Amino acid sequence: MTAWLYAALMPVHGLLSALALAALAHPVVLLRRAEAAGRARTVALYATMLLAALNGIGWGLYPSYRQAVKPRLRLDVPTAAVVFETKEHLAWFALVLAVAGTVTLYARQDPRAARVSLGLALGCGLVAAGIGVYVAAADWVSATG
Amino acid sequence: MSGTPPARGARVAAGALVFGTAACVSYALQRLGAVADDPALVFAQAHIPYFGRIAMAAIHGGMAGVVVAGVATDPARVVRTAAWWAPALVLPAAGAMVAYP
Repeated sequence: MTAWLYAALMPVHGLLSALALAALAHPVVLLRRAEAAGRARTVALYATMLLAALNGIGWGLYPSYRQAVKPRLRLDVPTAAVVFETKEHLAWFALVLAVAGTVTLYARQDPRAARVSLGLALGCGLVAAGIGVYVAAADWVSATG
Repeated sequence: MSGTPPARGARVAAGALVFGTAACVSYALQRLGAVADDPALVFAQAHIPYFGRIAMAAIHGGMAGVVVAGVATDPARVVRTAAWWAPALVLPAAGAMVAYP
């Protein structure tokens, strides 16, 4: 991946993650009432599609990150380089759990199970996003400082 | 999947929930296994092991989901009880990924 494409996709990745998490929170809140499962179904599908796109972009960025950014981070902010790995793990958890919750909703089964799965996805996604913000800030400080 | 018969819907949901949970647990076990082998090396690895782990976790999750969807005698019960067994399996796996990045 070229440097300019990496620089262009990084903010897209960050903004899309905020959008995906907001979309994922929606069905988790809606499913407090079982009768809202119909509305939650569509939003959960969109949220899962956003998460899939987000993971796809992340997987595209990852090789460039490991080559260009990680060596510098390991020297300047080792903690950021270490916790970035956690972000990748939790992003994967969020994707598969969101898929599981959405399929459960579309199968018209117990909405509590779907809510738990989507809630776990949201929790993993929120932690991953927090780590992402920290790593981006550490990268910026490392590059400019 | 609208209009899915209840029994079939329960099988699909049970399979999906098992897929999601098993994919997380498989990923965590693979990662912890790699860390246990050589903690210094795993951190310096190229990107390929990460994608390999994801692919294997998806395969493991898919296999577990298909097996449960196919052979579970009471898939609706699997779905009903997912509210406790899914967090019981996913949260320790996620915690391990935070504790051992």
